[in-house]
Amino acid sequence: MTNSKLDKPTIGFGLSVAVVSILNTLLVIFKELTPTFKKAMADATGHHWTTHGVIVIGLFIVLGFVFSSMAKPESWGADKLGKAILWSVIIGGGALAAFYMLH
Amino acid sequence: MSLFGIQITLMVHVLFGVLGIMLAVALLVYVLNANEKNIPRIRRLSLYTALSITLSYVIGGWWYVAHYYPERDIIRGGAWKWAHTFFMEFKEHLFFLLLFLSILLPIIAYRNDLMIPENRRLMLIVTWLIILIGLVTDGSGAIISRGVIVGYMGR
Repeated sequence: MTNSKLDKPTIGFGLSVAVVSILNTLLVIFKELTPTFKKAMADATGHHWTTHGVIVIGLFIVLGFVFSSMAKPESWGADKLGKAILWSVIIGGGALAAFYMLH
Repeated sequence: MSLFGIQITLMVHVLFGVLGIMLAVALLVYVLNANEKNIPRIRRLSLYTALSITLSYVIGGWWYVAHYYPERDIIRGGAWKWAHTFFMEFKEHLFFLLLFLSILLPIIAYRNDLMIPENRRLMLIVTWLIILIGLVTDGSGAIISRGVIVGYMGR
């Protein structure tokens, strides 16, 4: 393996981590601010957190494969992907902490 | 399940979480000192980290859904109710990021040339995030456990 470009699944699942890190926090905010939605999530699997897990893990897998099929290795270098993951985790995790501090 | 079994299960969840952090720290050291000889070890460590974090998630998730409610009520009735309202709520959702990052780790390690500095930097970013989020979730777990004690003390 001497290719300097990242392979497609790495880009696809890396981008999926970046996107789902943000979506995870958005889903938390939406369910906490919408009690009927949170109850529907709880009714679906017995616990809202289980349903939350099914949604975000499902999204991570589906988006990972979708982004892998669309990925252009010449457009996504390792440094660019690393920055996207880093910032999305900082924003997603930071917003999650801020939300529960204020909620 | 017996009370003993429930407590052991929780400890196994913590054990795999801490093991995952330790494996990630070891991985970080090997990536910082990467050479042709230790690439197989880097790959194996990335896989073990992912397995350990995933096991911690599955076991902890089962415990949270099946057995946390009585402890939650004790915490909420005590002086440290924020151990649940902030730390548990934050931890249970932050853990998903830890899970996804740990699954990404072996994908990077097994499918790319780690002798290229840019690829190693990507590994380092993901590994550092796993270590930091792992420590945050581990510390949150410790605060939640103390929240139960504080809840009992106030009864």
